[in-house]
Amino acid sequence: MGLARAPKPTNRNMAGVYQGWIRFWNRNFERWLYTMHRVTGVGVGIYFVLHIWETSNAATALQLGDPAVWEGLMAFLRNPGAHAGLLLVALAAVLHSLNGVRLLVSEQGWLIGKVKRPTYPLLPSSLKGAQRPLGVALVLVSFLLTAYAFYQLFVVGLGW
Amino acid sequence: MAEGQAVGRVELKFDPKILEGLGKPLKTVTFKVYRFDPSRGEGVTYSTYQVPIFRGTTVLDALLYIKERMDPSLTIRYSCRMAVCGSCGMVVNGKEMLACKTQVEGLKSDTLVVRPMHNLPVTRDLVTDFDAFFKKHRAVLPYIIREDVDVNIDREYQQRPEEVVDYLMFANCIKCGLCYSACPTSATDEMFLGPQAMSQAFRYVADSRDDGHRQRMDVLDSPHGIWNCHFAGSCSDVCPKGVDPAFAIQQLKGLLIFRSGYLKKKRPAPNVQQKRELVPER
Amino acid sequence: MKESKVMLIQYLTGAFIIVLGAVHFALLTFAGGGYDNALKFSTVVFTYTAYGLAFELLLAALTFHVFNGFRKVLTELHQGRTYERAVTWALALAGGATFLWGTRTVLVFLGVIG
Repeated sequence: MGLARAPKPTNRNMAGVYQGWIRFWNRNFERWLYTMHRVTGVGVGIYFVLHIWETSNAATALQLGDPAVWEGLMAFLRNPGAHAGLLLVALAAVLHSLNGVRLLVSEQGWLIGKVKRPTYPLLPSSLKGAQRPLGVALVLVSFLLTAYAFYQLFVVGLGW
Repeated sequence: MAEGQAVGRVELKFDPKILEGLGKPLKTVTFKVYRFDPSRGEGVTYSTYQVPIFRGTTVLDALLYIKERMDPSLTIRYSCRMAVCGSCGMVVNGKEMLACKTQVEGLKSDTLVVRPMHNLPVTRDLVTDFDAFFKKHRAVLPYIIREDVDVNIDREYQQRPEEVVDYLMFANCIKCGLCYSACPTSATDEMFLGPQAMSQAFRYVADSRDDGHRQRMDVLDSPHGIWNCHFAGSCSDVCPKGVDPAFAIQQLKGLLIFRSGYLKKKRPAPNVQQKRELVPER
Repeated sequence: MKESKVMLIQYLTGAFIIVLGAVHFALLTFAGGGYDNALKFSTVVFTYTAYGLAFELLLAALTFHVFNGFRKVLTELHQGRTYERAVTWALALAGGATFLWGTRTVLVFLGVIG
């Protein structure tokens, strides 16, 4: 005896990139770290490819025996706009790296609390484990390192 | 003690003040509810209702109020009304929750936007299709796997209380789908196993009676398996039963990479007869 | 390759990048006394010649880590056997090209290529 089945649904109802990847507010802290990790990873990745092209100009300058090829490019990039962009890259790089350390540790099952007999209010142990304060600490350290990058880029680099 | 005498006497103090306002509505809350009827071909719309909220009114109570007194066409799925069946999962003001467990007053908002759970096809209004969800659950072989099951079909397996605690919290899963809805990877990856299936895989891998970790790890270590989880933790955040799927998944990752030796050495728990044979009779 | 092996390399290259990247940033900020001096052509020549191997290892680690990361993001965005294969091959080629172009820079400074 066959059961009557409902017709195949036509509304796929996927949350999509905005609801799934971008909307981190009104959610747990780790969700913000996930979005930040993804955005900074893509950002630094694109910068990496451009950086390989940019630094290849130094080799071209050496091959041609003409430092002006390199110095000219550096003079073009020595301005507040470009240095602000580099500061964002520095911030993205340290955030991604330090959160990566947190992920490396917690994805092996460390710092995510312990298995325990369930008791009310049935709170998840992974979100109360040491990985959360570690995440907060690493974000703060990232901002400190970025402050140092600001000093190098603007005070030392541009003479502010 | 003489027959008929009371064992003890407890004085109950009843304060009528706790009943105050119980029958009167506290406020009126605006419900904006997702409507979708495939037979109409109109697409998604939102219907607005003004619902009186009493002390203790849950989202499910409010939706049933709408259904009974305002709009009988509203389609919802519910059953136990006490957060054990997992039928009434939905997204309220952007957060996944069980409608029967969520008190409207606790949401602290005068407008509630209610929509069905994400990442599952909508059958109608707030009801979603769980076929893909259950298919992924079946894919991780959610049952005890033993090589000696034919030989020891009439014997129970030994398990200490601490071995039960190793998997007990994951066994509380009610398959409500809230974790699957909250997961950022499931938001775009239809082939992703999902936090529920993977936490159930761990429930069996962690069970000392089980010997099927090799087959399960083959399923989990696939391109759309465990490695598409990036520990956003929202699954654990929204789980109504404290199953903590994020914990389970990170443990599985650890078992696959740096602790694979543990799985290679794992032997299933002996049955009662084998245990007796180990201890010689006096 | 099994996904767990790919992820193991992703973790290891990530750890490698943190160490070598810290060396790279240290060279930028301390070599020649600060950021402005570090980018002078003479300082760049010295740095690449002395630390060429470190740069090459950083390039290798970064190429794998970045392009595997892009692959993960793109395959989570859309699924399908043909699409995933195309994305994997396209990113492998792009990664290979990036690695070769960066290696050219290092080899020029090490004097291997004229």
